[in-house]
Amino acid sequence: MADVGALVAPAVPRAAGWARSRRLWFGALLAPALVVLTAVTILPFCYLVVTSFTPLDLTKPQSRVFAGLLNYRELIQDDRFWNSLVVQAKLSVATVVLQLAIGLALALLLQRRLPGFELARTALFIPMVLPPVVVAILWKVLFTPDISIVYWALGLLGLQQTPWLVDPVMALWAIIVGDVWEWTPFVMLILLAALQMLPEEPLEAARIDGASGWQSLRYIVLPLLKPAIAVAALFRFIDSVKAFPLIFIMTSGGPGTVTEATNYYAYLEGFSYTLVGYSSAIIVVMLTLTLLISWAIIKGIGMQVEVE
Amino acid sequence: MAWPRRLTRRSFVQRGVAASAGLAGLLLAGCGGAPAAAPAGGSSTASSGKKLAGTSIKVMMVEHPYADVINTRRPDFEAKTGIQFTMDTMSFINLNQRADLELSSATGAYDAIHMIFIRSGKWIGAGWAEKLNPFLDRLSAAEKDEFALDDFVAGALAPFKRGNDLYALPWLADTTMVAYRKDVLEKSGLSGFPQTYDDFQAAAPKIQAQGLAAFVTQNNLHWIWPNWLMSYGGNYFANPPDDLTPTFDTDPAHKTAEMFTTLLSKYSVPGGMNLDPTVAELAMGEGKAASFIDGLGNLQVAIDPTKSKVGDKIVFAPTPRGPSGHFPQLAVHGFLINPASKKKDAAWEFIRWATGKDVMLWGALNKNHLACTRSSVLNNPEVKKKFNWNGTDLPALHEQVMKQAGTGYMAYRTVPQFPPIGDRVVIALTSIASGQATVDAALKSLQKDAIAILEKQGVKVKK
Repeated sequence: MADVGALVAPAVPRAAGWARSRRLWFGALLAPALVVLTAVTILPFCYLVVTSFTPLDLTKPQSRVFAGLLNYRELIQDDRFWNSLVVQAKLSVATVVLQLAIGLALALLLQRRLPGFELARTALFIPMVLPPVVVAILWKVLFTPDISIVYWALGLLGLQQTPWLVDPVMALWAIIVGDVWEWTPFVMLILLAALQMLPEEPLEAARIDGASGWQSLRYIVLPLLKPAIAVAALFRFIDSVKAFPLIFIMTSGGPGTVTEATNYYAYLEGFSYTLVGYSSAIIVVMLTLTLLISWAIIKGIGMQVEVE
Repeated sequence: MAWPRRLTRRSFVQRGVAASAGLAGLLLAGCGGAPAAAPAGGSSTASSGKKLAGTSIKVMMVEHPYADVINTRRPDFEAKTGIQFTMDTMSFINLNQRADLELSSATGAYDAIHMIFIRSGKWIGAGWAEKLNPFLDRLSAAEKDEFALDDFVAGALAPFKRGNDLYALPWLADTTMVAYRKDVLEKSGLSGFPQTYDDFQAAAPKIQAQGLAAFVTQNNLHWIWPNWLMSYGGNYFANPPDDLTPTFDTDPAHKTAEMFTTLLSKYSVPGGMNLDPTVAELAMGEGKAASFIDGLGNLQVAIDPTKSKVGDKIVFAPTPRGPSGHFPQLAVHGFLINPASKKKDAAWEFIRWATGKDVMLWGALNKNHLACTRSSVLNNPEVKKKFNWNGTDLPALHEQVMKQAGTGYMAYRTVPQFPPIGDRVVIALTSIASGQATVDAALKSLQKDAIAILEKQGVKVKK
């Protein structure tokens, strides 16, 4: 036994040393990625936060001084900022809901592998691969009566439409249409992939039990798709906050401020008016809200699958 | 530095955040001020042969036919000075942002930069434009005669001057006037374009009854509305640049906002309150509108035979007047020397050449650049002949507006605080035209926001 003990006892420090070496080795492997991540993400973010506590105006270098919560106090009293949040909320809710609904419908349709399935799937991906600026110009042209083939065709049919881009009710819908057109294929892609990965057994069992198509969808497919829907909703919500090119090119935030979403307002303050400190404060608030809502989406829809 | 025995996630995050915050602080401190501007030195190239031969400079400029003029004439400049230049052209919106960033970061990547009219006050105030007087003073007598600073129409130089100091040389002056369809107005019972805004407002339904919109303009409404506003005694500010108290909640502002937005919503083409300049030009050129009030540069497109179907029916006229007088608008663009440039002498040679008489005359005759800034070009017989359009002496009309606007009423547009106020004006006008707000509510809100914008920038206003 003594021999055995003599053999085992020295092994403990060797194991600890090995674990430590392994941790150091992993750390060394991770270090380059962490350095890059710090340089391109964390540092700019820290700079953004620091800048948000200054009244920095690019034309006044002396304004780069700490001013506490000055910008945040001004934000609270800024009607245009609150309006931009409301616009952003409407835009995000409408685009995410429509993209999920249409994307799911298309995914269910394509999953049936009807004739022309491959062609339809390829065609549906086209909007997604177009640069957002191109999409914005495309929709700007389509919504500009004097140069739009849609307005021309409607005019031939005697269906006169108001110009959406200058209509206070329809202008935001014009942006929503463009965004939904561009990004629904992305949602469809995620959901189609998830549908194709679903286990056959629950659906087979439901069919044997006499479940209708709707019942299978409602009680089996949708619960199983929940994680994919949550991921798609999350991606699309985060992207909806970045719907900048559409607003910039189609409406410039107008008419009035009905399409002036928060990122566009931050852009104006920072780049058109050179008030970088105030713009940074807007972005910090926007980022915080985005994180909170993303967390709520994950909690609300959930990543866990529960099938009754 | 001793590493902890075990690097936990918490300790890693703590150290990471501390390091990042420290570095961010360093960054902030490091960016605290622009590098000291290199003093302008050297002497004029022309007076010292080709001393700058082999120098390469970079130029930033808006996409404009005049960029084409400069590029086409490039061999002359290079042969004369031995200096080479690279020119980056971009859309006006991009130029606004890139020039701001370039000048504020003081990298000196561009040596000569497009001076934007409505940013001139801000840029000159921030020290972002090199004073040109030392360069001008160094010219020999012969070079001074050849360059002829006095040849620039005074109204075109005014926005870039502070006292006797000059900060940019102008190559473009956009002057507002009217292009209208003579045939349509005659059918409406009008012998010419109405001479007052009241008469134009009264005539608009009759013109529209001919089956086309009475009026179009571009979406840069803060540039068009003052044609009306000032003619009725209004302004954006009480007495710019000395007293910037906003004056939007006044009778002239109410009256003219109502008139102007009525034209936009009832007597323009569909979507008339937000037409990109190219769409407004197209509406006029395609025969969908009877009149077009805008700057000369855009109006010229409406008579370009390659783009307009009705150019031969279009006639030009001065903008109407109001009870307080006639206030056509002027926007001037030029070239400045970047104070952070290390090649200021070469940049000076470039802007002196690019705004010189020869290049500008060539541009007018060969690239239709009539919106130029030199009196000698506008009075050149060939230019007069080329731009006499259906009986209108366009060069004379353009020069007249430049002289008129040079009397000082355009000062509102070059105060450093103008850009956000101008954007806010567009919001108010489109809110009225789209029926979101009454004139009274929109202007009260505009007044309140304008005061807030000005106070935020340290301007004292009288409430």
